[in-house]
Amino acid sequence: MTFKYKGSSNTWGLVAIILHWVLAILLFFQFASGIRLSTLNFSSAKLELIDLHQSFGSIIMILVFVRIIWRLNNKKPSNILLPKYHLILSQITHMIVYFLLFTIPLLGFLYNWLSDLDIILFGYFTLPNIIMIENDDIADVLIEFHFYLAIIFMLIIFVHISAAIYHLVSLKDKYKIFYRMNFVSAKDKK
Amino acid sequence: MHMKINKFLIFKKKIILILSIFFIFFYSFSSEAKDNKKREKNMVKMTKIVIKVDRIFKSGDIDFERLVKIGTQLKKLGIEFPSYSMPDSERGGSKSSMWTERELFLKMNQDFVDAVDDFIIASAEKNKDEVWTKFKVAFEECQTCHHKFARAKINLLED
Repeated sequence: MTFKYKGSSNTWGLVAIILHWVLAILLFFQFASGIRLSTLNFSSAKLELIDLHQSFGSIIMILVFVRIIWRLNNKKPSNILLPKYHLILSQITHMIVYFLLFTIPLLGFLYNWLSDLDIILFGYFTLPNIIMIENDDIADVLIEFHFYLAIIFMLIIFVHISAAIYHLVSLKDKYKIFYRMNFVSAKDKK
Repeated sequence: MHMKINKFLIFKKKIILILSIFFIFFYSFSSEAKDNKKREKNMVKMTKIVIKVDRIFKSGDIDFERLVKIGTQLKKLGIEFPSYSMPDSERGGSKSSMWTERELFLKMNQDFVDAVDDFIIASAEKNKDEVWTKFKVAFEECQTCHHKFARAKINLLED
């Protein structure tokens, strides 16, 4: 069985599809761990969860870079049949999603660096502090933004999932929105 | 035209005056006897230092002089902490037990300060295992105190 790795008129392509679903799983973990961190009292379990949250956040940031570069260099599925307001709404939602996907982890990084905290990925690899300035006051403001933007992001993701379900269930996926992000669409039928 | 401009300028002055009174009123109101912000800021700093020490050990790159320095900062913050929870304080992120069980709170805070002191001494002696042991004792004190007196950020039902 062969796959279309790149995007075409009716699929996002295997690479983009894998990136999408891996990011979805990681984001689900980040939301769950973020909420848990907000409710968890100070403990060693909390410190471990912070480390995991940071490690997965770093992975998300790297994957978002890869996703954006891949998207800019590959063909997107066709949206000719899609009603104009659907297209505008989806473009706005996607722009916000990409902005938040990039901004929220970045704020996390900046918080750690400005607080002179090492970022250790999965307990093995320490990221270099590229800021080298310590300012707790700015760091504390940034982490508040990180927290509230994450809540906004959850709402945006809820809208994204609702739209996908609407296309799949109500519209019977007549515009192939759901299909094109499905692994089946990336199968090479030749 | 001139009438309109004059009216607009008078209106603008009124708005600025109202906003100034509003700002002064709220500023004076918020700066009186509400030290919970200072308390929370102090706590954030202490928490960060504890995380910092934990990560220094996790990274394996242990700088004992850095540990002494941040341990001293932690001790200072620990000594200051009770002064930000006077009887007329707002509860903020703290449980009411911080005031209703005041003696216990002060004792637990002092235990924490003493544990940090031991950590500083061990760091100055550059004994890695001993520093880690003393850090864990201080960490335990943190944990116990948090469970007793702190509310989690969005756990609104917790007293």
